[in-house]
Amino acid sequence: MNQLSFTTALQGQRYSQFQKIIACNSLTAQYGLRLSPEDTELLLLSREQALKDQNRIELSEGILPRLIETFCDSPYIHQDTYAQTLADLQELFYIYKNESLDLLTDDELLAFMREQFDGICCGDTDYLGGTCLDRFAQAARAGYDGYQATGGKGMYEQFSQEQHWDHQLFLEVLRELIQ
Amino acid sequence: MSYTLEELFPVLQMLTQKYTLNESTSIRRETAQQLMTAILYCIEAYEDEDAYAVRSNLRDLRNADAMKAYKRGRDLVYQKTVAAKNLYEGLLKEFDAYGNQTYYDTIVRGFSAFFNYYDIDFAPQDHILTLDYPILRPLPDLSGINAVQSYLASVKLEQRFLSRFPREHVCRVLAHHYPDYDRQVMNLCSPVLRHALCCMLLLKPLRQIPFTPSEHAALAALARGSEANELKARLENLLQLFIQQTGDDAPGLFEYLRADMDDFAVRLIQFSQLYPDCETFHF
Repeated sequence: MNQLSFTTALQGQRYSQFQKIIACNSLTAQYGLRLSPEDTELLLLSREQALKDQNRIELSEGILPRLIETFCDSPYIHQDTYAQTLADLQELFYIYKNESLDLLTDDELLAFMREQFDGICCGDTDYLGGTCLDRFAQAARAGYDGYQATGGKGMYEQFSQEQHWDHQLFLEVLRELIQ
Repeated sequence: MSYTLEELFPVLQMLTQKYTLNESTSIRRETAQQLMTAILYCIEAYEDEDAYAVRSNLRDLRNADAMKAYKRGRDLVYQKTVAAKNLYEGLLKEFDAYGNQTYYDTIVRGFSAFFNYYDIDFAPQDHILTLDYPILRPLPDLSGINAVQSYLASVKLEQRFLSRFPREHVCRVLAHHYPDYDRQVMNLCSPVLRHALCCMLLLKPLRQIPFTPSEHAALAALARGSEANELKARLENLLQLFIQQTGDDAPGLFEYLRADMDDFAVRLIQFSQLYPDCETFHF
């Protein structure tokens, strides 16, 4: 059963996927976000390329609707970069499903991505992929399974290697400025 | 009958959801390949049963859809696994490795692990084991539980044959021809069978080990000038006689043991060509 066989069989799903993604606009409209048919088509092409690059197959509706649902109320997503951000997040999703050896469920990975995207990444998908996701996947490969209890939330601190702003650091810097 | 990919797709979707516990919308391509092979393995099991039923006029050929064919095939694979496990447990009760480590490790250790780890749902095509102990008849392109069933059936026939002889005799024959047989990866049936047939050719008692120089000469003379097929047919007749005389009517025993006759005939002819430079016939 070769690659061409799978690809051909999956093409039949495209129309259904297109409709499902367009239908997400009814949810995202309240946040000022909307995907045009052209955006959707590009996202689906981006999806196909990302799946091909990562040697993965989606046999059902795919992750895009869930990705939209998870990220649509993020303060770091805006209409002018909406489609590109979704494409970037989608690509990261497939990469890190592989990098975590499929140990993470979709929900766990999405929850982690959203939390870090809004948190220390401040909407930067490059930072998300280059630090948080990379370290989290490494931990999963090494046998860490704490994410199972938390659903992927609230655990990055133990893997973080950067010093971030916190309350104590903020007060120290403020005192220095005042003095 | 074969199914198109479009017909198989819903089956693959169903099995993928089962594999991922519905917790992942995508899988690796290799995983999809593995699951598709699992589906085809089960459908083949269904089609084999279907073909048998049609040949036996039990029913007309039915156009089962792919999902139905897969589910029925999966049930058949499960039934074969249960049957193989029963066969194995029966075999274990009286299994004797005659001191050969590979035989013991393969049958006693290897197969007990197989029945714990064989994955009927997601990898029925994978029989996991390396089946290190060499049986007389190679498994013809079989895989999964089909390979296991065939292999265990062969081992059962071997054990049945070897149990015709006193244990001490089997060990003496093996040790005489292969002093380190306990550590070798070798088939135990073959030397015992060849020894018995040589004794029949020489009209001497089976228990007499080793052969005398004149008996080696007689073996060389018997094989000299023979064509391989002719000698093989003669050996098979002796084998048939041996089985009849031991009163063993196990189905398949003759067919299994005759698999050794090709090589045995060739080795006898080679020995006859080398004699007297080579004075001893080595099995």
